[in-house]
Amino acid sequence: MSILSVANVSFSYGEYEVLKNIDADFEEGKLYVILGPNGSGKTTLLNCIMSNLAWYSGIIRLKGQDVKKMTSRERARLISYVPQNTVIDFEFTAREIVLMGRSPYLRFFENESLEDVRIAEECMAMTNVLHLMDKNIKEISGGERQRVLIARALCQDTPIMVLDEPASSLDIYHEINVMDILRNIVREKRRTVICVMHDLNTAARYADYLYLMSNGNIVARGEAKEVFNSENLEKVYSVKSDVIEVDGKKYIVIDSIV
Amino acid sequence: MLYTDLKKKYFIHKLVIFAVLVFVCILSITIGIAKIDAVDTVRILASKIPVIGKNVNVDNIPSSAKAIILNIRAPRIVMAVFVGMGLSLSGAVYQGMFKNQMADPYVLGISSGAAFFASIAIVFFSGLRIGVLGSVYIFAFIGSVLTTILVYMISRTGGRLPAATLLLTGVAFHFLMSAGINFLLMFNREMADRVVLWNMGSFSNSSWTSVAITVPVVVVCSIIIIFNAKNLNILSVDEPTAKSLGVDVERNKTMMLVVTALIVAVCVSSCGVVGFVGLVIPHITRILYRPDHRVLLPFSALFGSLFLVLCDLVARNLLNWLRGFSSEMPVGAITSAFGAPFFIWLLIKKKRNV
Repeated sequence: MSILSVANVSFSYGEYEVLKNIDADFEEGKLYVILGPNGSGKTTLLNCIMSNLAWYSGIIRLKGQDVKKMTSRERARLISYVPQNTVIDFEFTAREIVLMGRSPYLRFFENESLEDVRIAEECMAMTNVLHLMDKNIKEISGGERQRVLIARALCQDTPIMVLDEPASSLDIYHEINVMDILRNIVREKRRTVICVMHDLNTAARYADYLYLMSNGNIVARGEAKEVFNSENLEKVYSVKSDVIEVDGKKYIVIDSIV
Repeated sequence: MLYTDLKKKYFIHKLVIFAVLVFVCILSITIGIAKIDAVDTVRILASKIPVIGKNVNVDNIPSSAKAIILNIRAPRIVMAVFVGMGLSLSGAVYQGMFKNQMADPYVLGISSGAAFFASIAIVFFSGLRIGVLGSVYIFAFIGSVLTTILVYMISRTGGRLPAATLLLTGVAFHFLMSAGINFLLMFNREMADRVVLWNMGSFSNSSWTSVAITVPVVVVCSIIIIFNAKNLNILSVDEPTAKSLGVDVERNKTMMLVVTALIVAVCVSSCGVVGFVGLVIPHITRILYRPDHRVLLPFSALFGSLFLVLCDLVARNLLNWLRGFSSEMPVGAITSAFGAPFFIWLLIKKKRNV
């Protein structure tokens, strides 16, 4: 049973159609990656899923329920979000940021309880940022900040986590670190993680299931071995490439642009 | 430290600052161009307190002294307390909501927008009233709402609000609206003496009537703002994230813009454009305490009151102290003398961070 289903969703900015009849299903306990060139509609699809853009046609269902009919608080208990831009302007501590993940569960006048603090710290331990808890969020590195925000999404305790390019601004060590953490969350906590990404090799390595988008359509879907082949990559990205296999894993080597 | 722990610790701080505020208010009421004995002042004030008041004999104090204390100094100090609170809370809200530490009603041109519309009311519609509200208040509210919306719409690019554009738009509006005020008032000779009041702000026109309108509005709006502290925390981090955390962002922002516009409107209607309070106070509070709005907002309110009562004290007496003149300065001149250098310091600091 899919936990999130996107059925026949279209979206346009004026005359320009950004998403064309998208159908996609997301199951529990899997890591999904949405790939595609700039302007292919990935982020728009994400924004529709997050209800940031409400005037799409078609239906998006969370646990079988139409998201348009949910309140923002109900939605916040089902789906969490890690933005691409992780810069925060005010000097909150890392733990204060993570604790904000509890807010969908707090009443209007209620402050975080010790139980909320315990949950937050447990999540911080899982993303390896517990030692930063009293550090100023403006003074930690980009990789650390990304892990703090993943801890916040985890702390929100939602079955689905959505991440917009979680690793694009990180060096290779932190990229692998973040992706390992996400895979861990999927395996241990049975969460559904949906990432929008650019790096084909990272996607091939971590995704359980891939959606490859181009011009507002999903042009290929499936596991890495089904999605990644020279034809698909040429069609979508206009590049000539070789897909090689080492130890049963797929690697994409780009030769040239077409 | 967690907010729940801080709450107990900071409660004492709030009490102490509140006590200091009360002391400064009493001090301020005893100091002025008309020399009135401090003991007499306290007796006049005490005589107005219910229950104890009956036992205080004020018969041997001249009635002119009573009038100065009770009808001239007292209302303006009360006004300074609540305008200071309202303006610094508005500044804190703008800074959090626009994620820009340089936002405040003055810098964003909202105060001048309110003042411009207020001067339209003075010149053209002075007789108009809706209930107890004179046209000045109503026009000031329309002015502050319109300017907020215009500044926000113009500086918004692609769903984002770049700091530089926001400030430039705000400053441009500030000058445009100030020019408007100058034209309107200068061309009406009998109004010309009010130009300085509207541009620089002064509490010299405060009366119990203006207190009766301003204080309830500021108090109610401030309560709404402080109750919204948790949402402001989340909004000050990131808007898409705020949505995903269950905050109804558009509704929340609209509500905050309306209450701050109301505050700015009543403050400007009663004392003109007082600059930089909303910029300096929340910023200093953030440095002294925390960016958590549950801490930031109450402390900003207290410090804002304290700051403006002190500025008003200086504005009333500075010329007298230095030159023996019996005239006063606009309070906005004093707040700007503190605020403008602070603004420049912020810009330099921000430049270094980039």
